[in-house]
Amino acid sequence: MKTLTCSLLILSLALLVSTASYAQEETDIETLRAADVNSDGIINILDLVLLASHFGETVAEAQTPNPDVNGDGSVNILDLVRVANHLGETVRPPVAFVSADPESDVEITTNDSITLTFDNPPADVTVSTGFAITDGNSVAITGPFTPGDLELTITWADGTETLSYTIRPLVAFVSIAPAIDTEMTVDGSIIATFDNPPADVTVSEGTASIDGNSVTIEGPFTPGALELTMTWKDGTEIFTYTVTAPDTEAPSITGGTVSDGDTDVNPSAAIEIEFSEEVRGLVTLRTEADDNVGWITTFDGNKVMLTPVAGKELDPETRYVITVKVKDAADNRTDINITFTTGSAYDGIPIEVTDANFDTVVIESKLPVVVESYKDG
Amino acid sequence: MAPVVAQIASENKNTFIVAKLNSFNNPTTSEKYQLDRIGHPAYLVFQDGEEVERFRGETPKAEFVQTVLDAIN
Repeated sequence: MKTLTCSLLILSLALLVSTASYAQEETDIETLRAADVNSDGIINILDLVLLASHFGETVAEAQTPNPDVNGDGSVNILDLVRVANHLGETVRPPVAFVSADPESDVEITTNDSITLTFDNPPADVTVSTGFAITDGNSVAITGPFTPGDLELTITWADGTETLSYTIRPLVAFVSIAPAIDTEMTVDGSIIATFDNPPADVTVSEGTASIDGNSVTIEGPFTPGALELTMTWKDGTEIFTYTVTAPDTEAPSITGGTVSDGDTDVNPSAAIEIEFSEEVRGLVTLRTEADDNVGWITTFDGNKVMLTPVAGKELDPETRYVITVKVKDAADNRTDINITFTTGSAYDGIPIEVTDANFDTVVIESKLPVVVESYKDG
Repeated sequence: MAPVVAQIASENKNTFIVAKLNSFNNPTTSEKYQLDRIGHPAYLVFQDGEEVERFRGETPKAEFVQTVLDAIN
């Protein structure tokens, strides 16, 4: 009897609807979803039949399927009328949130974007922070976000989702020392500076250590052209240098006014020693008994001058020793002695020269010579 | 002039040596440097084996020394 009654009701309603003019007004999505009793996306005779099968029943809340279309607690003619009013209409399914990339509860940077995926294109998307751009089933949320903890609420036509992130500043490279395209030694070090402490730093050569906003990259580096790639969590930089081989060569004496073994050295003249490179250290003029004569030592690049001091003149025809203990910029040391013998003392009385001794006295003299000519014979 | 040159030699013994050459007895050197042609006394300044200056005749002491110093410095 119930079935017959419902069938008649359905038939009459169907006829009523089919003969009525469609003056459909805008209906909210929830009303349409309620009328789509079997939730197949279309409001049709099947929904009426399903509703009719529960006609006269009292319906508990949240029953699925729910034939109480108008939500008044009972399935009655009013529910049938509401379904009949929307016969033939399609119902958009509720759009559900699927996932977020990056997922919630992870660390992202201020400039990162978050991509949300839904099972269908969402409508009316709003976000509590940032900007949302919908593209099909996806929504891209871009910052910049404020560093710290972020609780991001996304609201769309069919729901709300809350995601949590920790926002950290984007770490940018600031400077490098020494400057790129310069020379550095095999055991040199490079200091890179960032605007914030970098993370996950790796380098293509050497060893990197982080200290606050700085990263120190220490060798050894391979001699030659160096292209050093430094990568950190937020970026990559490439630095180029020329790595020079280590200086292991000690400085050597390349010239000067006195050489080891020299004789007839002018006892009054300053002594200059020339080295193969710039040196520093100790150069002293000493007697054979190892007493410091007291001449003044002056370093000037790769030259060292020993300057006579009044009252500390060298004795004629005497052996002296210049002790050389120097090192270069790389601390390569040279320890050598230069031994020489002074010449005869010149007592300030003009020397009579002849054809026989002219070369010895005048040409080979360490001191300048003024020759006075005269003719007597 | 000889006493003046001796005095110059003594006062500048740490700077330069003064030598004397009798061209009459040493014709080879005299000829080499043409001492007789320029006349006597002539003064030839040598440094590191090279003649760097020459002048002749009576010269005041200060000018003499300065000429030599200019030549060797």
